[in-house]
Amino acid sequence: MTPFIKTNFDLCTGCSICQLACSMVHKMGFNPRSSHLLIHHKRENLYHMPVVCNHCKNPYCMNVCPAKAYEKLNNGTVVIDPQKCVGCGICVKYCPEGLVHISFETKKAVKCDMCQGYPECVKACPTGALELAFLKDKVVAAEQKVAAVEQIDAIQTSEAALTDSEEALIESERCMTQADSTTTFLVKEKKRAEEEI
Amino acid sequence: MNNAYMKQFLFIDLSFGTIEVQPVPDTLIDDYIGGKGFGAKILYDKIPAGTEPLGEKNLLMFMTGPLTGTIAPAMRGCVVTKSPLTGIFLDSYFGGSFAPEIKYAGYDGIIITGRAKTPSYIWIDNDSVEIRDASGIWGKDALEANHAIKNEIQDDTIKIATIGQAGENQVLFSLICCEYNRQAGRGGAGAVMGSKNLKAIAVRGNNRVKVADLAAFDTAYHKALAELEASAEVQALTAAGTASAVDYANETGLLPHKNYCNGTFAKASDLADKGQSKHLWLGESACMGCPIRCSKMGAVRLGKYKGIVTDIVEYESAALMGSNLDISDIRAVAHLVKLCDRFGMDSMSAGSIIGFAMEASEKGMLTGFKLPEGIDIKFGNVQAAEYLIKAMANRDNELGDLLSKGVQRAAEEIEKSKGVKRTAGEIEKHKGIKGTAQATGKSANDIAMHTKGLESPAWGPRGASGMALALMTTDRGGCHQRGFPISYEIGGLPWKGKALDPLSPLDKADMVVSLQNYSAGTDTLVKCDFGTFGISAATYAELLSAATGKKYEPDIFHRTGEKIWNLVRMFNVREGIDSSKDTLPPRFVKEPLPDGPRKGHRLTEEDMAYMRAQYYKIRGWSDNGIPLGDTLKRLRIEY
Repeated sequence: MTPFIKTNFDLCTGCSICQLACSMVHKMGFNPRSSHLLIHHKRENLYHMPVVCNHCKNPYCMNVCPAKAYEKLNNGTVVIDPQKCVGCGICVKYCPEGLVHISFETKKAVKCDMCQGYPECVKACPTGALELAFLKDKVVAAEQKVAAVEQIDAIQTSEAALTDSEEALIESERCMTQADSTTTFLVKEKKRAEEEI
Repeated sequence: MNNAYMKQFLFIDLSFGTIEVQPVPDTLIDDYIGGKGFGAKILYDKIPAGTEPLGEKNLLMFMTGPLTGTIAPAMRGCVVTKSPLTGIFLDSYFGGSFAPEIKYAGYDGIIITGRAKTPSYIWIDNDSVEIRDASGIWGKDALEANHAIKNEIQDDTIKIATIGQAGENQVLFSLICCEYNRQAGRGGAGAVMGSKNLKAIAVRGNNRVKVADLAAFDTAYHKALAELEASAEVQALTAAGTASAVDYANETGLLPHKNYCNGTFAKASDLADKGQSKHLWLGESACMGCPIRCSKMGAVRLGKYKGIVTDIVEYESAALMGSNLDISDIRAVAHLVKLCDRFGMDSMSAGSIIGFAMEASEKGMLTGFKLPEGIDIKFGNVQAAEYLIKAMANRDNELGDLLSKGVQRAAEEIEKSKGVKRTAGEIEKHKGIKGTAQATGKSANDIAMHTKGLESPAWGPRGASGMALALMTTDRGGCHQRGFPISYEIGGLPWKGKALDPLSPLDKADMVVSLQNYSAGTDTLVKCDFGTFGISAATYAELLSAATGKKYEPDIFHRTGEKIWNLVRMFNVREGIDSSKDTLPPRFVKEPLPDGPRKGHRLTEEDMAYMRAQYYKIRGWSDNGIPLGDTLKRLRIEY
């Protein structure tokens, strides 16, 4: 199970509390510019779009690192080893979201490390705009896909059965109506016969 | 040791183009903590009596507090200057993200003096500070100017404070629009900025605000969050901002309707959260570091004003630009408020002045002005309100120019012009059409709703005498934010264990003094009023102690607040304020409330005199409202 941060722009208020929490835990001080996530404020603040590190399956930042300072951990988190980083800044240029920075103090590349567990930004978010979620690995995902397909099939089959039985019901109702009118006819006939007598 | 101060002020003299960084004196921090305290002390020391507010020598200060820019919930910044509208002290508060950025750039405050020769803006990129040419953005509205500067600097993460056309034209109630669309709204700070030929201040900061005791700060932070969570008032703000106050004020008879003639409005709900959520709201927005998120963003989707993005129409604007003008279409009100925001003009004062103009016009006091065809200045007319907003912001016609000076000056000028401006023939001509001012015998001053020149906020005080005393005595003029007794008098909170009779003048002075002191004390942090609904004095003191490394007790805010209140009073006394100015607009005194649950009530001269005397006694001021020598000595105020 690979942990990742799921963003929900519809719940983001742009308050930056996530960024303040991130900068405090990583840099011992408050400034959203020192944090490892971004919020794009759009259309006069009608939309706030939080952007977090994707911990990509195919991380460009890692691919371009000439010093092999990047590592993808077993749980999928992409991290930088500050001992190996030479601060060349190439990785900064190839993250499409602008989520890798060169630290002002250490002159080394820094990025989201998922706080080695439960990320502070997620903990601090007051609205649920940031959530901790888990990406299933390939085998589990494939198994679940099969299960899901079977489930959908089952639902469709039962729906079809339902449709059949609905038709049967309509049919029986029709018969009943017919029977009813037959009865009515018979009653009427009986009445008429009685009157005649 | 680390602490949450950046320990320096940035001084900019626009006349000489000089830029200077000076350390914040320890004594200033010890005595005044930050924010309002810093601003009040510097203004008192540096601005001699009679300084022209729109002259070179006035100071325009952007102040932060020790908790600004930290994760402490609901913190802001403030602008402090001498007001061109009132001629006295002005502090105006703003949320958003501009104030934190000042700290990230490395300063506790920016202090601006002088006047640039040509339109300019200041670009502060950490310790690199430049005065740049703004001729290309002069004439743009407050939001356009923001976008233009981001474009010029090629960075949309910078934080900017701008003025709109109203500030450029020195409309006396123009505002400063702070990143993003958060206003230092009241009292005309925008006109001061305009008078300095200063269109904007753009800031980028990479420093971090550090706290002295991280563990203690974290504990206090979580306490503050829990207190906010536990507060029903805060939860209500999270749900619907201040919009629900429209219904509340209407039910309690405190809502201004038709320039405060009435205290209720039949269509109030259309302007409240009910109307706004139906026609405007889409999602939530928050100031930086604030979990309360009282702002509800939305858009007008259909109709005449479709396409505009709207912020919440907060209570004051909904009331003063809505019910006060007898307008109930929330989309129209949102449009009018947005116009004010873009022009950079206080929508509270603007609403009050338009209400004044509508009443004056209906009563025949506004004759002799040329109006475009179809513009009939009367209550309920949205087109007239829109026309007046544009005319005031641009000052491009006689009526707009008159009203751009605020309601006090406008009323005085109307009175002065009586009999002077019109020839006998003109008076004769008007006689048959509508009652002229002379014919009605009413004075424009009687319908000008202000205290000390600042237009009254949207809380009619005739049903709450403590609120009346608060309005009479606020340091910057007609303002509801220096103490809000309504929560106690009407809201039912007991004051010192006692339920208060809202209509009685008894027992109000002690409450008002205490609320004012606490508000001034916490305005040093700089707190947002909404945070105080949940966060306790003890928790603010814990946050402050942990952030600064100094030990503060919860009473620090009352003590510092009292000191600041008296210092500001001394500034105002120096500018000519005395007991005669601690009063209410005539309407609240002469005309009984015609409707609502407190129908028939007004504040009599005797009520006011009684409350004033009690208030001065508790404050340690003379009968004329001047702080006594002993009081100043006790508070260690040099004067």
